[in-house]
Amino acid sequence: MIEFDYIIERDMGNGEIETFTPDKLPTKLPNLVYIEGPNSSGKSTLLHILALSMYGHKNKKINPALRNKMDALLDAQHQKLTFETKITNKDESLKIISRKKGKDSPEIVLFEGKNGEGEKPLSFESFENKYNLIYDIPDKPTERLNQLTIEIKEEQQRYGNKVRDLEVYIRNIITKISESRDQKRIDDLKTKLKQIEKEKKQLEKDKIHSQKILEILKKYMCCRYLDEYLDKEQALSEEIKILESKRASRTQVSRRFTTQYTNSKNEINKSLDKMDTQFRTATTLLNSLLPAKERHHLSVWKRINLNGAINDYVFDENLEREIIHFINVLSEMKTREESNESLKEAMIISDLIKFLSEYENSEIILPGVEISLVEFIKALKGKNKKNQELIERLNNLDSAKKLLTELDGSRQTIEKELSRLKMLAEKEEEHSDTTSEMDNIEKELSKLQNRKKSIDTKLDIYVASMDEYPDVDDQNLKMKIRELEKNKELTPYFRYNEDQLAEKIHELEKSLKSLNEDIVTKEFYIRDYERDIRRLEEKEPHKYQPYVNELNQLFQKTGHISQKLLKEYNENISVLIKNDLKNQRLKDDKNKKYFYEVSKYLARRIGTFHHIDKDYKAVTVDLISGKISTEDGKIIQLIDMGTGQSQSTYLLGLLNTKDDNRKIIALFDEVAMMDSTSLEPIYQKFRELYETDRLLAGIVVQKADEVSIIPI
Amino acid sequence: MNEESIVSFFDALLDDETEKKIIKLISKGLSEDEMIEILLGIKNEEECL
Repeated sequence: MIEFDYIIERDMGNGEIETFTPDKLPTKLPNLVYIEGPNSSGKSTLLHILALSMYGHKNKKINPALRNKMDALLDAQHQKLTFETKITNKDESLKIISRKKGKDSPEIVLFEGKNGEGEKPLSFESFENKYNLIYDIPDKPTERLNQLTIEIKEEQQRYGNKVRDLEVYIRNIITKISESRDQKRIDDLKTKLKQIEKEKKQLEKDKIHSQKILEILKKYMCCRYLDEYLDKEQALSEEIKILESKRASRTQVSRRFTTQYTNSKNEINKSLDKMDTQFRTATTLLNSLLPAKERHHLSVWKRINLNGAINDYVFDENLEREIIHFINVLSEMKTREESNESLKEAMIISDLIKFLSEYENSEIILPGVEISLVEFIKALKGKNKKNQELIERLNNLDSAKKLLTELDGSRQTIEKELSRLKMLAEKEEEHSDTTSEMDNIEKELSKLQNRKKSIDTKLDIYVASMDEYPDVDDQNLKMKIRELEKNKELTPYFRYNEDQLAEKIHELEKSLKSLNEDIVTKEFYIRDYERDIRRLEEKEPHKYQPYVNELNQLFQKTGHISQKLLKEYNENISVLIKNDLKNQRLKDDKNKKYFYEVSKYLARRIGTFHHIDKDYKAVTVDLISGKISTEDGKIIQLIDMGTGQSQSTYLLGLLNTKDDNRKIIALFDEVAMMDSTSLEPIYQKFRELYETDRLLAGIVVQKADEVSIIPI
Repeated sequence: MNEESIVSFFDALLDDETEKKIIKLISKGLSEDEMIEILLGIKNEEECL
């Protein structure tokens, strides 16, 4: 039984509200019914509301034009709709009730009641899982056959989602199993734990052995090179001491010669300064005394450089020669001057003045001339005045001669000093050879001191390291080395030099560090395994534990199927829906198989159909070429089929869903092109499905002048 | 299996027997737990239907 009622309050645009109710059709109908009626008798509205009551407006399989009409009914701005529908199956064990109570709310509530139990709400998804709503207007039926492919797409999606749900379910089981008690895993972990503990013990043994070797080698190296560097240091110290002593003695000799030379040179310089004063005085006198013919000698005299003697260790040879020459010249000049009578008189008068000046203060009157002594001296001085130049010249000649004699004396004395200075200078020269030797000593000393410094640094290190070995001291050092060398295992290393030993020790330290790290890692794993074992042992085993391998396989298989259904097949069917012949995917063998299976599936959906005057059974429906191949080998073009026949074929295709356990609600509108011959296969299918409880309701609507309700 | 079945369509496309069986069980409307028990051989289909 199909029961329905609705109220539509439609705004007519002038403020007037018109109300529509199902007043031209009965509100109770049989489950399988054929309805005829004129326009506006409410046939299509009935189908829209029935479809809407079962979420038809959300159903993507339904023609978009029909969905738009359902959406328009829900448009609250234009009209207000309320309805209630109820479909009961033939034995009344099942009913689905739908209500839309709110005029302004689009909310539709659908319930399912089974076996007299209470009504349970059905969401769109739940309804889709249990019921198959088919609502169609079979216009242009040959083209609409394509729409069966949309059903395939929907089914692929539906199955794909279910497989994916199963995949997720299996994955959750596997996760739970991995978190549950797994005896095999516990045993595996225990085996691994034992193995790691064994490996750790071995590492610890290796560590102890390495430590022992390292300690011995470090001690051996410390003792051996402390001993060696002590010896070297001692030898070097002695060598340095010898060189320092050698350097000290060379310095003393050098210093003595240097002092004597400097003192002598200073003395000579003083004498030379004094001699230079005499020389300049003599030169002045010679300048005033000598006649012009002596100009050449005087010129030679003036070029004499007394101070140059300090560097040459001898005077200019012209000095001695010119001194002798000038003394002779001066002597001759004096002899000539002394023979002059005027000079003799001047000398006498001068002697007289000198003698009488001693009695100048007496008041004696000289007899004969009757003048005082003072007046007489005055007269003598006046007389002698004109001879004074001669006297002074004679005196100057004497002074010059005396000065030249003194100069010669100084020359002789200084020349002796210069000779000694020269000898000291030569000693100094000898000392310069000693300087080169000193340089070598210094260099050698520096080298030895550097070596000693580097040895001292080494010694500092080894001495500091000896703190670790209180059993070793200076006295027993060599004995300890011999004791250590008795260790046969380490014999090869005792032949190593210092660098090789240091390298070996470094290598052992690295190896020891690595061993320690390995031990720590093992300990980490041991703790980890122990924790895992404890955690696993505390758990209860999962009921599917023995099936974990099978579940993993199932997980892979579900992943594989969902991938195919939701991606590969979905892409293929989309190509067919879009009739994308150019798509390269069609050429692929795998895709060819897919499209062939689709054509077989569509043929199965159509089943047996009536064409012209004969029934045919479809084998394949090729939507791309628009051909149906039949069991008896006939090829029928879809476009050659009559409209009514192809409508019938199409609707049969929609109903032929035996694989689908969902209960069908079939609503077919505007089947005007179908005659009774074309409609009969639909009715038969309705009855067959209804008898097997697969069809809940089947309504076919057609336009006519009068309302007729005919049960099928 | 009915010839018209979408299941037979998938059956023709899939090669693996287990995969075919999964599709078949889904078409029966069984719960995930029931499907797993059948697939693991713990229960048979008749017990679940």
